[in-house]
Amino acid sequence: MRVDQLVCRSKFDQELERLRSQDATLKKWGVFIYADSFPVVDVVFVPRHTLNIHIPVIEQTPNPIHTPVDPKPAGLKILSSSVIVLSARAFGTRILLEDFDQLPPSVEFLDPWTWKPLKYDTDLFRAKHVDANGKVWEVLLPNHPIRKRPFLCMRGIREYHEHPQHSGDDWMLYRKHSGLFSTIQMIWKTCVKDAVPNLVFQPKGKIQVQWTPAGQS
Amino acid sequence: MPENKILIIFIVNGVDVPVEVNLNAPIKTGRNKALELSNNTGRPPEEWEIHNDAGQPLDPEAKAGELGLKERDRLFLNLKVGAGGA
Repeated sequence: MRVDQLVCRSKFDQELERLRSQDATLKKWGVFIYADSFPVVDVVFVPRHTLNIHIPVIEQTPNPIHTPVDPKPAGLKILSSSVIVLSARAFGTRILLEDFDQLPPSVEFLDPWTWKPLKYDTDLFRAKHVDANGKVWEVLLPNHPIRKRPFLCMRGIREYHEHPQHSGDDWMLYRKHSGLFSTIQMIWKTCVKDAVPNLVFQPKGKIQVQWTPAGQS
Repeated sequence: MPENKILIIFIVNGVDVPVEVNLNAPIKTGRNKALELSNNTGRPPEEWEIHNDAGQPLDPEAKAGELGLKERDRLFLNLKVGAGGA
């Protein structure tokens, strides 16, 4: 650590106290503090968006000229529905506040059952950020150039500010206004609220999983 | 409290900041007051977004009354986020 341990510990305790003061809101979001041991906080997120399924249906149009075995070709329609009993899986995050707030919080995505890393291709959702212009950005990226693991590429997260492509966006510009609660809120917004699961059945039998922001399924 | 005013709880980085808000005034006036009270004046108020607890962004120009806000409703203030995704 580069910051005096006592200072770091004091800031950690303050951030934790602020986080716990928002307990009612966190629970409403499906966010649960699993463990805290300086300088780490483990948090479990439980999504509650139901799974949307989209199935292509070929409509047969009856035609008196054609025989029943040779029906007139028809159009493709997509039937959509929500499966109430299914939703995205819960996930864990390990938030590291080592050297906070000289450095921003670091976020790692872990399996909440084993606390082992989640793999990008098979285990992780696709987190979305909708900017002020309505453009949708995919912000959970597969391989950080330094940490060599999936990472959330959002300002205020250590992995973002460490990334060579964001060297001009210094954490020190935002340090005073970000902390543990805002970090967790950001994770919730991008990885839960705006990561609605959709199962799309393609006409030729392929099944695709798509993640969309809230209200855009 | 006067009839046209309500108390809104703004949450700034996990800290509750109660602010009296005029129902006929844009909600940004409450935002600006909350930032001032919580000593978050290092960045322009326009860089702070307002969200309800469902995570929906609110138009800072909209009036508190138009938004249907009620006494002790909770609103969250966060810096507009830069994203480095794809």
